Amino acid sequence: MFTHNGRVSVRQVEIFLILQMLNTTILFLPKIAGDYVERNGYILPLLASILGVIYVFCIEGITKRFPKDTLVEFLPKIVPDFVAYIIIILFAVKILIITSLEARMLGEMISQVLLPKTPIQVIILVMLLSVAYLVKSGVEAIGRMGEVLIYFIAVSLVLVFLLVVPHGEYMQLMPFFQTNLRGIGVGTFVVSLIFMPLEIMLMLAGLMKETDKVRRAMLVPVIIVGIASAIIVLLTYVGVGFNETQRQVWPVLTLMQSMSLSGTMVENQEILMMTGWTFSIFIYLSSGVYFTSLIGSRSFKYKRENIFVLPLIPIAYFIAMIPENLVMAYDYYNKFQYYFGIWFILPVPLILAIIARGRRNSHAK
Amino acid sequence: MQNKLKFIAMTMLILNTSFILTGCWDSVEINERNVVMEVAIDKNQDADLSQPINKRDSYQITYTIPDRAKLSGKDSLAKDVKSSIVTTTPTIETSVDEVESKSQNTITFSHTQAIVLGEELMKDSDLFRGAIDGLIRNMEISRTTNLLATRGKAGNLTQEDNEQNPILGLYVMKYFNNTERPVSYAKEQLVGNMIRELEDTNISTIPVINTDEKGAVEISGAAVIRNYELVDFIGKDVVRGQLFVEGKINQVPIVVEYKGSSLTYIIDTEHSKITFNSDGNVADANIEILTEGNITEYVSTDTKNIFSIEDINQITILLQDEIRHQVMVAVNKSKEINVDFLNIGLQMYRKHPKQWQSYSQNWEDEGYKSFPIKIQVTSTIKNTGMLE
Repeated sequence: MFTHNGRVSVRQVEIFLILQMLNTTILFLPKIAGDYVERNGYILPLLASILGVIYVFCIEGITKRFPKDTLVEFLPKIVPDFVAYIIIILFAVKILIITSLEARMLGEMISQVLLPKTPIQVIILVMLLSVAYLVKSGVEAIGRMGEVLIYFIAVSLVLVFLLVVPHGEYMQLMPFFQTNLRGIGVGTFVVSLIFMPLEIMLMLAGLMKETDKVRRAMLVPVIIVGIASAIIVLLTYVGVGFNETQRQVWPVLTLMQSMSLSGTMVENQEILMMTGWTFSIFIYLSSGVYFTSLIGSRSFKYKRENIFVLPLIPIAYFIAMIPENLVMAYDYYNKFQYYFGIWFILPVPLILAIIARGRRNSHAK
Repeated sequence: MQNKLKFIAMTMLILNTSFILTGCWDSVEINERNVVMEVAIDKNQDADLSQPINKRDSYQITYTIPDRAKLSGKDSLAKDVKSSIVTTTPTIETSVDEVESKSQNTITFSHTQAIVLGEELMKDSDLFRGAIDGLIRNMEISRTTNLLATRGKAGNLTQEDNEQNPILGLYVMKYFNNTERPVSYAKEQLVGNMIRELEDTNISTIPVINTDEKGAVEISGAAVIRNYELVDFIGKDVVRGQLFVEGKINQVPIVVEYKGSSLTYIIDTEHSKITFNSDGNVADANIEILTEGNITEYVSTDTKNIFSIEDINQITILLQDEIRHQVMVAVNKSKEINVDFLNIGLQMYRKHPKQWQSYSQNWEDEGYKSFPIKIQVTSTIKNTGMLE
């Protein structure tokens, strides 16, 4: 009954973005932050939030000029058609690749921790098919699913925090502020890529019920995820130990394993983190598949928005299976984010906003 | 009709999905699992050294598997409730493979409660490091599993009969989960914590588990590890000093002589702090210890006994001296074996990172040995019990 409404509320967008930002990167964020500023890694997500706010203004700068339009509609109004379609295709390809790599990382993680004997192909395919079923019902269904899942994720995260806080070795954070400014600068930029899902607002802003609240819908997730990430990094250092964090592939998962609940009802407490994270990835994959499909259907001016959903599943699956192993998948995932993560949250929206403003001024004259 | 068909199709699809999502490749019925409760890892002394390292059976690992049916209930009186499987293999993982071939059921380590390391294994840093890596790399054994050391062979210890609890892993779990137990002679060590300590300072301690002449299990003292290699065993008195320095003492009796009689003071809470006197250069370390407790035992023919401010002050001074002496035992031992298991260097790095740079180079050689350490104890007597 709620399907194919095609419009989402501000609250749904906020939840949607929060869940997307809590993607795989969160699981190794403490390690990334530690690479740049060592034990002070927890300050990077907070500083990165400032960059996140800049990304928000860049994206809002372009979307507010074209309320009710998605990237597919407003881009040809700013730049020549062929340039517009090149950018749109690049955007769709980028979303599809990062979604596929995210699916692969999910598969690797589930294989490692939960289902070692289940083939990774089955894990990825089952997840993608579940995603296809949700996405088929449109953006509002994804928004509503997010509203349901956010409670499970929030409860898992709060439980994680409550378990770690009393047992942490807070001396791990010392010595304080023994780092250089270059490390802080580069680290802040790299960590700010956790806000990459903001790029989806280039499509989603046009599907909002209240288009005048786009900025708020982006700012709230940036602040919440910035703070949550800082807490996660801090707790990982005090729970696992800084040096050990740098050795781990998935330090946040190790954090959960480091809390001793021996002899109690719960012994495999890492499942709490896994639950929240898996739900979050489910929404991430849903978003990736949905918006790639939406770009296709709007570009070809099809009425049905989900027409490309099923054809995209095997493509996403095959991209996900390209890396031969975890090491390769991890490398591809990080490099792809590092080199392509920034394009649609800063340069592209900024350049488009400048061109759009220039054109309006020239029309005004 | 069409709607009904759609409903049936959707219901079937959802039910099917729930089956698909159970992960049937990995499902094993609980009664088809052998839950390993403790693992004893030793160096195989009979390994053929002429073999290449990947073919050499360097490890001797003993797995203890309880018979769950006989163990039902917390205080089962059944006998022969466990079976042990001994393997000799080149790596930990090949050992798991071998034990699977000797067991009718699937082996699981998800509830393993204790890992016991043999003395010879701890003396071989490569094997020791390999064992820890093998245990945690594929997350088969939790990082919160208790780690213990033993003098002699760990396999012998786990196969012995223990009258209190036939399963040593369960004994260890209950021992360390018992929060009412005084923390006085042994410091709990978990796999993850030991790795963290070794990553931070290259130094860690592991509690020692042994049996006495009568066969009773005792956990006290510790094995001092540096760079994944056993340096020495330290006695329970030294571990008590270490616990004082780490602020982990709880419900521990301190006995002093007062006016010709023994007086017992039980420490309820203890806090400690390591500070450094620094005016540009760190000159010495100061271990500050605060204790709070009660007098629980004292016999005197004096009418007023100890219920006066003068007596309490004098007793406090005696207690502080005794505690200082107990801490000094640990400081002296750490200097004697030249291993900073009290983490003085780590604290200096954390609090005075710039000054630490001048010590870090030769801390392990001569720096720690010659570094002055002072101890300052402040004790509080809260009450004298029900008697004056």
